[in-house]
Amino acid sequence: MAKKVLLSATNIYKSYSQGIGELQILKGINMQIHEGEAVGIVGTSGSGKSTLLQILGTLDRPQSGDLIYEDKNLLSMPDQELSLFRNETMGFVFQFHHLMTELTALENVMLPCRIGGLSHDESREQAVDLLNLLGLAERMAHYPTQLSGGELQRVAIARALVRRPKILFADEPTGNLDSTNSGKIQDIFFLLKEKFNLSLVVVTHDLSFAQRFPRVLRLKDGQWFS
Amino acid sequence: MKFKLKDLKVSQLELWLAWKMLFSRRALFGGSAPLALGGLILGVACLFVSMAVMSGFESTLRQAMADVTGHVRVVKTTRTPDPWLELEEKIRVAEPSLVSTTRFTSIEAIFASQGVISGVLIQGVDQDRYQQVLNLNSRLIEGKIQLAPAQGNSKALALIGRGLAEKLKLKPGDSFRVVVPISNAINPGVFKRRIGEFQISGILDLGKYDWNERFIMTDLKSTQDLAEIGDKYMGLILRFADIEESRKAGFRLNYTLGRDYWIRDWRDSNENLFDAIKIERPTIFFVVFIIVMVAAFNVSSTLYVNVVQRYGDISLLKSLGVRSLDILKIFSLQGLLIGAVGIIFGSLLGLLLCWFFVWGQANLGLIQGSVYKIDGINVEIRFIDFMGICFSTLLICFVATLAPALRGARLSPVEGLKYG
Repeated sequence: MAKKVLLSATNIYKSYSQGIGELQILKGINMQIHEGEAVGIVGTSGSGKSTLLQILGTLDRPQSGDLIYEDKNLLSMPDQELSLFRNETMGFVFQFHHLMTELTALENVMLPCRIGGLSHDESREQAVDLLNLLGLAERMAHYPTQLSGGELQRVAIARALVRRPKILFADEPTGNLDSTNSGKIQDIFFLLKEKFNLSLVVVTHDLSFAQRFPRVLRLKDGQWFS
Repeated sequence: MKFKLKDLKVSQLELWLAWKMLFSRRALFGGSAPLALGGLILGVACLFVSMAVMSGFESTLRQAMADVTGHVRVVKTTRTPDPWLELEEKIRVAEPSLVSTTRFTSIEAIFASQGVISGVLIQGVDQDRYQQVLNLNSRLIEGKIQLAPAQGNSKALALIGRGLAEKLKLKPGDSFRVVVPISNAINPGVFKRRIGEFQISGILDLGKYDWNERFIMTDLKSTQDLAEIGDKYMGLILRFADIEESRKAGFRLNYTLGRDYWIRDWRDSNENLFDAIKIERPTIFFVVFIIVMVAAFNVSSTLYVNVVQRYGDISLLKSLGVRSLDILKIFSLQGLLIGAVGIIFGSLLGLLLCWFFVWGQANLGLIQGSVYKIDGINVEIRFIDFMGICFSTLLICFVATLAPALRGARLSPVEGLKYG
């Protein structure tokens, strides 16, 4: 049986003004992400991979096009509603971990739950479970400056998944890691995808990582390239 | 940015994030927040001390008036002696808040002792009533409060001001003489002298330099005898339940008692001074508040830097579901938190400076009575002043944070995620 389409992007255009002209980044992108599907997006620098990921993740808005999640048109949602939707439905992992340095690993992971309105105890319980799962039980009280690169990225993954999102977006998640840590992080992504039935959309330069995805999309000059 | 009123409610999370961003070790030791906070603390302390000293000066003066001259004085403008108990009853009926009265008479005299001559004012009051009207107990620094002569002692007792006692090296138990010029009833240009002798029962700190230098208080009978006026008296000193209400009572008595009486309340003899204080208080508040405003600009620039440094954090929070309005609240709260911490530590520093001011008066002679006409100024922290300082400081801090907070709120979620 064909899996349900979770997110559908149709005819997405995005450009940035550059001096007197406009720089076209995305030129009529269409794509669908199914429930529990893992999609790898590859392409050269400047091809529009990150911009596409940000638009799919509702962090940015396109000039034109539609973005439908199940039956909701995400681009017509007001900012407040979209923020709540993002908190409940989507998780993000970036190339740089972007952990808040004033907060411990545990507090960083609790953050999305607190933003979503969960109590301190509930948030803590969920964050502890996930950090234990990712082998960070001993590191919960540590601040980001006290963690290694691999640990930082695992904390960032825990933060992205603590709200049990339907879709996880990752933008070059192994870009700053050595090959050993990169391999571990890749394993974690696929392990968690299976465990939580996640839809996974990963932008990467790393071809060995991309090869692990059943579906790989290539982007060139803002268009799909086969 | 559209929002409803209920969206302005601050959540525990926003407060927690604002606190963490502002007072974490990184922010405290790596940022300019402590310097901005330091400026605000100094500004609040200045405001605190200014208001406390102004209020203290006003209170010191008012207390001295109430203690020494009473709340209201009713002075006869005619020479006809009135049965004073009837007059008191008339006043009591008109003003039920009247607590007590005492008759009084004042005469100018010349004090001569050990080669020093000084002009003095002798005030005689009813020895069995003055304690209910004047508050001399709190002003006693040596001896005891007593005007009635002890049995077998023919000398009248007197309380004198501190300055007079120091100038003439007098202490309780010592005697002194005064010369009173008495004008001739037929030929007012001709004076005869009368000499009165008093024994000092106590020395008072009357709160004002000129009072301390020339004030002598004794019983009414001694004063009447000295002035040869029989049982005549100048008027009544009144005490009311409330000093502020006593002014209104005084105004009403003007109409009740008519032209035969001249009414003066505690404020009348220093009206200009009290009026000046009334005008100076808001003026000084405004002038000193400029320091707080300058400090608020520091807070604003600190938050601007904070917002710029936290592009990544702001974008991340937005990606996690924090709304633009919440970002606005988080950074505005930081301004309010700086304001609140500034108020707490500024007030504590202000208290310390006030204590030093009081200590300095007692030990370093900061207030020269001969120059300032007042021997000492208390400090008084009024609730309304404190609330004014708190409210205005918080308001200016809030306004100062709006620009940087809006900048943070308007930041696109992707803006800060480009770089690590």
